[in-house]
Amino acid sequence: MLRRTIRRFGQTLRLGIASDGLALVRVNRLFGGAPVLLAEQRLDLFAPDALGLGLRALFADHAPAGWTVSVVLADELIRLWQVTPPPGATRMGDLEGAATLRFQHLFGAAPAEWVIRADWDAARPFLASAAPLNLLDGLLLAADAHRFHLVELRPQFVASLNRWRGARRPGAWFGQVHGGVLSLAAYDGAALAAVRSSPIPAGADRDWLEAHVAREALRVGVGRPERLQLCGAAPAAWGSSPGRLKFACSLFEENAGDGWSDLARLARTGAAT
Amino acid sequence: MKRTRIDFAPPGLRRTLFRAPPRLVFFLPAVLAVCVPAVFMTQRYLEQEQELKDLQAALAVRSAPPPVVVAAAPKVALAPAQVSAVNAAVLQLNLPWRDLAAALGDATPASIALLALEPDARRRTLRISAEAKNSDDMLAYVARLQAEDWFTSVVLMRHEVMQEDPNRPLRFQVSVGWGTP
Repeated sequence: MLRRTIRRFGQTLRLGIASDGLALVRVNRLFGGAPVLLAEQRLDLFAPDALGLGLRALFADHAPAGWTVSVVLADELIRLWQVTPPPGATRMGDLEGAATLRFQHLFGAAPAEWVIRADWDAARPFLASAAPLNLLDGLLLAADAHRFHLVELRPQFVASLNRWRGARRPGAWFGQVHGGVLSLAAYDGAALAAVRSSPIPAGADRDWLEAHVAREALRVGVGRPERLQLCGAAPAAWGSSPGRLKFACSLFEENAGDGWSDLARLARTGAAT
Repeated sequence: MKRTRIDFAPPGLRRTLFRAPPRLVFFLPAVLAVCVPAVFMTQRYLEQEQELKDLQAALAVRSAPPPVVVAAAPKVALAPAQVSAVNAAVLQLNLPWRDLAAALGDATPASIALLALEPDARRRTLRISAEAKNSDDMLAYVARLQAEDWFTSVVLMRHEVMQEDPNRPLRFQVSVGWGTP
C-alpha cells in the first residue's frame, strides 16, 4: 500500500472522452516529465452503454482504483457560450437564469437534460458550458464502479484556456486547434466577447487564418486582434511575427503533432508537457 | 490571465486538494516543522495555564478571610394572647384614618354632633355615637352615610331621647362598615 502510494506520488490519470473514442494518459503533476499514453479505445459514444463498456475495456490493463482522474471532454460533446450578466444582477439565481436562457436561445435544447457550469461573474461577460446529464451520470457511475476519484471534469477548450493562462497576453485572442476544428475565444480588451468554432479546410494557410479571424471579428462585433495565440496541432505556417501581416500569431505547441493521436492529445490537454 | 472556473466534477475534499498547486507539497516539511512543535507548545502552554489557575484558586482559598458568621437573631417566644394583641395593634395602626375621617366629614352636617367614634379594625366597622335635634336630622344623617361610597354598610343601632337635657336631643348610635382598601 505504502509502496504503491510512493510510486504514485504526484501522478494522476487523465481521461479524454470524445464522440469517437477514449484515451487514458498518465502525467506527473509534481515532477513534470512527458505524459505517458496508457491506452486508447475507439468507440461510438452515442451507442447504448458505450461509455461503460469503453471504460471497462480502457481500464482492462490499467486499473484506476485509488487514482485521481481528470477528465477532458471533447468540445463536440459539450456546449460553450458566452453570457452577458443581466444589468443589476445581485443574486446567483440571476446569473444562472441568464445562462439558461441564453443556452436555450442558442442551442434550443431542454436545459433539464444538461448540466450548466460557468465562470460566474456579475460584472463582466463570462464563459458558460453545458454537458449532457447522462454523460456525467455515466462518469460518476464509472468512478464508483472502478473506484477512482473524479477530481476534474472540464471541457477541452476550458482546459486549454487554463493550461496556457500564464502565457496569454491581455487583449490577445486565444485559439485551439484540435481534430480539424479551430476554436477561438474572441476578446474585446480584457473581456471575453465570444467563443466560436469552425472547421479548418484542407490546405488552410496563413491567408485563410487572417481572413477567418477578420470574419469572426466582424461577426462578433469587436476589433481585429493584434495577436492570436494558438495551442494544439496548428500548422507551423500560421506562426509569424507581425511584420507586414495583419496580426501576430504565436503557437504554444510547436510539436503538437508529435505522433500522438487526436484522442491522446485530448486526454493530455491541460497537462504541462 | 485568471483561471476559468468551469468544472463538472462533484465537489469534495479530493477535488479541493487536487486544485491546490502541486508544488505546495515541497513546502510540507517546512510547514510540519513549524506546526508540530507549535502543537506541542500550545498543549504545554494550556497545561501550564490550567496549573496556574488551579494554583491561584488554591491560594485564593487559603488567603481568603474567614467567612463572617452572622449570628441568628434569637427567637422570641410569644404567648398566643400576646400575638393576637400585637396583631390587633398592627391592624389598628393600619387603620385608614385619613379616608375614614374624610368620608365622615363629608357626610356629617352641622346639625349632627359627633360624640364618639369607636373603630373596630378587625371587623372593619366603626361605631358612631352622635346627637341630633330631632329624628328627621338623624334619619337624614343615616341616609347621607349610606350615600357615601366609602361605607359598605350603615346600620342604626339604637336611639333615645335625652329627657334630662332641657333641649331634649336625640342620641343615637350608627354602625358603619368599610370595604377592603
